[in-house]
Amino acid sequence: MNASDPQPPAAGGANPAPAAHRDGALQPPVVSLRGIRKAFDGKTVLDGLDLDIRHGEFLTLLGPSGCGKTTVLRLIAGFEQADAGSIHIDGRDVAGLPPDARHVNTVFQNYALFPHLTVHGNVAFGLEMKKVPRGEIDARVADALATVQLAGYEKRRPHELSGGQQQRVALARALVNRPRVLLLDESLSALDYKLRKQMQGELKALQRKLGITFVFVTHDQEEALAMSDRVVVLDAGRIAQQGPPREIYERPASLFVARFVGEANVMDGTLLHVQAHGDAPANCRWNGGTQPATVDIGGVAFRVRAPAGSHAGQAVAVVVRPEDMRVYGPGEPLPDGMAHFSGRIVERTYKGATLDSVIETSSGLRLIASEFFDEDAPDFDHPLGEPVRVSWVADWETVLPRDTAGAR
Amino acid sequence: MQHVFRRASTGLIALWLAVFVLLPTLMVVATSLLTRHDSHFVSLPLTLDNYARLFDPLYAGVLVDSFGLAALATVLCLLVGYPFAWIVARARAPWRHLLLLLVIVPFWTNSLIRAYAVKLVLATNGALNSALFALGYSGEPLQLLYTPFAVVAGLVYVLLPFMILPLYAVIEKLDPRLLEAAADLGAGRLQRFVRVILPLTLPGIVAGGVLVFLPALGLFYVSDVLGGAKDLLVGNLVKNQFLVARDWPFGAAASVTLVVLMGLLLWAWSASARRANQRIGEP
Ligand SMILES: Nc1ncnc2c1ncn2[C@@H]1O[C@H](COP(=O)(O)OP(=O)(O)OP(=O)(O)O)[C@@H](O)[C@H]1O
Ligand SMILES: [Mg+2]
Repeated sequence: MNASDPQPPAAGGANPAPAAHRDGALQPPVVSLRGIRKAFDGKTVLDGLDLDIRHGEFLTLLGPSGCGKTTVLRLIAGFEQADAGSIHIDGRDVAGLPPDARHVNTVFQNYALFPHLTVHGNVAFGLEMKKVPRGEIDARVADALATVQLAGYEKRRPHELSGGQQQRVALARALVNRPRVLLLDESLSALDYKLRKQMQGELKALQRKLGITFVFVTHDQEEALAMSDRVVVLDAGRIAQQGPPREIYERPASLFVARFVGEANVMDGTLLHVQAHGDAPANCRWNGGTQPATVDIGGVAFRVRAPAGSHAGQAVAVVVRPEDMRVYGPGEPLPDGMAHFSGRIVERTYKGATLDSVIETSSGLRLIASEFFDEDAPDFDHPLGEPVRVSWVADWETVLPRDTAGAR
Repeated sequence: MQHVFRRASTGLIALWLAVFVLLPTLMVVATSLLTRHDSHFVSLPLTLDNYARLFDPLYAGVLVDSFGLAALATVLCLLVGYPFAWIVARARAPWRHLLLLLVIVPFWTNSLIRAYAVKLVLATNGALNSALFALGYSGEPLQLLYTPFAVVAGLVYVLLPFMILPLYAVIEKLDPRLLEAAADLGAGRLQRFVRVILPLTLPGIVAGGVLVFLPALGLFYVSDVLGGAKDLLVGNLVKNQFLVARDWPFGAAASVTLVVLMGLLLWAWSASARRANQRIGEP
C-alpha cells in the first residue's frame, strides 16, 4: 500500500541527521509554497501565499483565529488542493499526490485519535502501514511514548485519557514515524504550563537529534518566540511579516504585527522634523534604513528613529513595548533632557515576575509599563493615583507610517 | 403529578405486554407440549414428541435451508446496502434527504404487495425476461420464479432498508477526520477501510444483520408468493402446520424453537455490540 513512500526508510532506529539543519539554508527548501490561493465557497482564505521551509527548521505560523493557518498545514499534508499555485516537497511537485504518499505527518488540532485502538495501537499505526517489523514497532512505540511521558499507558483507549494525554498520544503517533516534515496544529495547547515547557524542550531536542522540520501553529506568543527559528505572521491569508522571533518582536513591520505579537503601546503622532542620514546611536537595537526624527505626540516632542523616506508632517504610529517604558515617581530624577509624559497611575497588576502599571497621561493617552522587580529599589512600587512621569528607553521604539498602519 | 403519570403509563405498558405478549407466548409454549387432537386441535397428555419431531430430517432440513437462505439474503443486503448507505451518508444535504426518502418510501406499501411486484419482474414472461429478449437474448426464458433464488431476491428487496438504515446511522457518525489521520499515517484506501472504517461501523453491520436475518427466517408470504408451495422458510413450516396440516402442537414447537434461536442470536448481538461500544468508548 505504501510503495509510494518517497523517503529512505528510517528503519533500524539509526537515523543520523544531526546538524543537518545548520547548513539548511544552502539546501533547497523541504517545502516550498508558491502563489498559493485557496477559497472556500467563494471566500478567499489564502491569497497568493509564498513560503519556503528550510530543512531542519522550526517554523511557526502565527495569526488570529480563522486566518488560514490550519489551511496551510492541510495543503502541505495533502487534505486540500490549492486553487492556484504549486507546492513542492523535497523538490517534487505534489499536486494530486494523496496524503498517504507524502512523507509528512500531522498532529491534528482535534487529535483525531482512533477510538477503537489502544494508545499502543494508535502510535503503532503509521509503522504498521510501513510494514516495519513487529519488534522494532514495539521498541519505537515505547520510545515515542516515553518521549511524551506516557510510558505505561499503552493499553488505555483514547476515551480513558485526559485531553492533555490525548494530545500527547497524537504527538507520539506522528513523531514515531520520524517524518521529513512534522506539521503541528496547536499541539501543545491542552497542556499545563510545566508540561508544555517540557514538551517544548522535547520537540526542540528532536529537531536537533533527528533533523525533523517542524511547521508549528500556535496562538501562544511566548511559545512561538521561544521555540521558533522563524516566525511567519499571517493576516487574512497573506504573510504580514516573517523573520527570526527577535526581529518580529522588536521590529514589527506593521501595526498589525506589533499589536498581534506581544503587548504594545501604540501612540499616534506627527513627524515634526526629519534629519537626513544620521548616525545611529550605539544603544540602538537596529539602525538599518532609519533616520533621526522628532515626533509630536500629544504636545510632547520625542526624538525617535523614523523609517527611511519619512517626511515632516507625516502621521505616524510610535510603538513601544511595555517593558521598554520607564516610570519615574515624584522623587526620582529623570535623565537629562529626557522627553516625557506626565500622568497618574490608574491601574496596577501583579504578574509574578513583573508589575504592570497603566498610566493615564495628561494628554489622555493610556500607556502600559511593565517593570521587573528590583531588590535594590525598595521604592519601586508606585501607589495608585501617584503622579508620575513616563518615557521609554531612547531608540527602543518602532515608528510606522500611519497609512499602512491604518489598515487595522 | 408527573410521578402519577409515569406510574400509570408504565402500568399500562406492563399490562399490555402481559396480555398481548406474555400470555400468547405462554399459550404457544403450552400448546407445543400438548398432543394433537382432530376436533379440539390440542389435548392432553403432555409430551416432548413435537420437539423430537423437529429432528426428523424432513423438518431439520427446512430449518437448515431456512437459515442458509436467510444468511444469503443478509450477506446480499450487506453487500448492496453498505455502499448505498455510504453514498447516502456522504451525500450533500439535499441529496442525502432525497436518497433517505427513497430508502423509506417502500415502507409505505404493504410488503406482501411488494412480493407480488418481484413476482411480476421474475415471472417467465415477466419484466426481466422481456428485457433480456429485447436485448437480443434468444435462448429459453429463464426459470427464475419458484426457485430459492426468487425467494432470496424477494427477501433482499423487502428487507434491504433494515440493513441500510443502521448502516447509515454508523457511517454518518464516522468522523472523516479519522480517515484523514489514517491517510496521514500512510494508510491507502484498502487499509483505511479495513483498519478504520470497518471496525468503527461494525455495530451497524451487526445491527443490520440481525434486523435482516431474523425476519428473513419467518417471512412466509415471500416464500409463498415467490418460492411456490414449498416449505422453504421456517415461517412457512409454522404457518402450514397451523393452517394446512392443522397440527397445532407441532407448529407451536417449531415456533418456540425459532423464537429461542432468535433469542440466542439477539443475545450474541447485544454482547458483541456491548464489546464494540466499549472499544469505541460510548457507554
Ligand atoms: N472545509 C472548509 N469549508 C469552508 N470553510 C472553511 C473550511 N476550512 C476552513 N474554512 C474557513 O477558512 C478560514 C481559515 O480556516 P483555518 O482553519 O485555516 O483557520 P486557522 O487559522 O487555523 O484558525 P484557528 O486558529 O481558529 O484554528 C476560516 O474562515 C474558515 O471558516
Ligand atoms: Mg486552526
